[in-house]
Amino acid sequence: MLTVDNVSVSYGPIRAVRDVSFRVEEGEVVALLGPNGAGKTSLLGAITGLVPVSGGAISFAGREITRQKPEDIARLGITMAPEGRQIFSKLTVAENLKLGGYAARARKEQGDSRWNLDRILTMFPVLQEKFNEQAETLSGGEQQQLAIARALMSDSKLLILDEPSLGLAPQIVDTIFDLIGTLASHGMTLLLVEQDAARALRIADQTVLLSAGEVEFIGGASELERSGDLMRAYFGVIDEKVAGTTS
Amino acid sequence: MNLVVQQAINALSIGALYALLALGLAMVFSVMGLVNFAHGELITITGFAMLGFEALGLPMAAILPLGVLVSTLAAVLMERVAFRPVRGAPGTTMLLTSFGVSIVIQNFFLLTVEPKPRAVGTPAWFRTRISVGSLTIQTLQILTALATVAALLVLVLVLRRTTTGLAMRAAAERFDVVRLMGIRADRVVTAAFAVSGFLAGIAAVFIISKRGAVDPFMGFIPVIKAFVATVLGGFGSLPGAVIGGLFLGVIEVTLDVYLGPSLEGFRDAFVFLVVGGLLVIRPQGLLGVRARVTT
Repeated sequence: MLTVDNVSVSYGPIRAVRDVSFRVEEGEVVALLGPNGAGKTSLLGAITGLVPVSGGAISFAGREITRQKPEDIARLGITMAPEGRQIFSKLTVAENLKLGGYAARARKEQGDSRWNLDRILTMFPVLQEKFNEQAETLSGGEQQQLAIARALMSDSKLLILDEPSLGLAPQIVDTIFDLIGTLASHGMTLLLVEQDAARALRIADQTVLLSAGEVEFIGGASELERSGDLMRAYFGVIDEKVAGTTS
Repeated sequence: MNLVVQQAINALSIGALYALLALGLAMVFSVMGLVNFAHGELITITGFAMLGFEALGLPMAAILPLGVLVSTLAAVLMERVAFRPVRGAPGTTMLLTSFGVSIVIQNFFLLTVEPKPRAVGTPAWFRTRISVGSLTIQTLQILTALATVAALLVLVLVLRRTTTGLAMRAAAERFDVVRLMGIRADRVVTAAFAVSGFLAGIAAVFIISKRGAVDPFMGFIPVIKAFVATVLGGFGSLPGAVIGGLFLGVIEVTLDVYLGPSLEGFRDAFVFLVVGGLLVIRPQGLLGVRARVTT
């Protein structure tokens, strides 16, 4: 579905991403992991068109999207719930969701849409409760749910989640990951960037580990878990946590 | 009491004009991060367009809406020709571009028309006065206030009820995220410029009716006042721009009343002093959000 082929991203003389290649197949959950500054967010920017690609090619559903505008990429079916939620705080929950559905309306796929407002509000009852409230009044966890729901409204083929647990209390993170797990079980294709590697590996089919802008490891999530050296080198003590949660 | 009501009406009509101009500035700034100092030239363009339509013998009923239309189209053209190529560039680049556009337009009129003010006709009934008890109100003042309220209501409806309006409000917060929703950036920015041109056109009609003449530099002072109003209201805040404009009108009229004849020439200096004082107390403006700088 998504092919990233030798992609590089540079900011002036600094190369944030170097010749990265990986694929995301339909229905698959791919976790993009790595320490801070590994180039994860730059890579997501390149995929969504927000950051210019300095080398390589990206294709989606058989079409080259390397230098397309973010709005055109969104209309093709790639949506992102960006890092830090980035909801429209001055707009109501309803207005946020309406804007989220813009790409789907532009594609005129109402007939066969998998994600519509009713289904999304059933999945996120708190948003139904606060439908007409200003988004800035929502708690952090609720705002994250809104960011994911807004992305789902576009009825996209690939959903990118950038650090969905960032800044949230552990209990709220459980709720968010339960929701992500539900999306995965519904066959949603997900590209997940997450600092909490333990949780990400629990739901991922494939893992891409980035370090200093380069691919350090690519393979099955269980394969990475078994690779003690990599787990220790990049995620410190969480290897034991992973072992605990996946056993 | 009569003096207070009379001056409140004066403040409202002056503040309404600043609010219209400030709202246009704030809208473009919030969507694009551009402080458009060529915004004042939309007033000049409207003025010279009205002069041209008058020379063509068009009736006044057609000249005024056509003037607003020209302003709207000029703003869209300004964006397409001058600002789109520098979109995403550092703020300084865009700011200098806006000064460049301003200078080019001023000099265009300087070379093709003339530097001296040219009288432009406006409806005679704009200048009639209505007496309500002991109050005397100029029709133009009432019209200015009513047109401003009507324009703001239409704007609120557009911003709240249409998808483009919704996208403009969202883009004012997070421009890139709006693009991730599949909404075309060009469409949002063009719409913001069109709205700013429309509001500047309405303000221009009343400014020109009040001064009765047009000249190539007539947009300079209004855009400075509008800039002050947006800063006062909280830069980037749309309601703040309206409040800032009205508040600036109140400050000006109050100073007009209390400054004696020997000081009235320094009125604008006192206005900026008051605004400066307010910004010391509240740097983020009346409705702006305070930003914290971490080191």
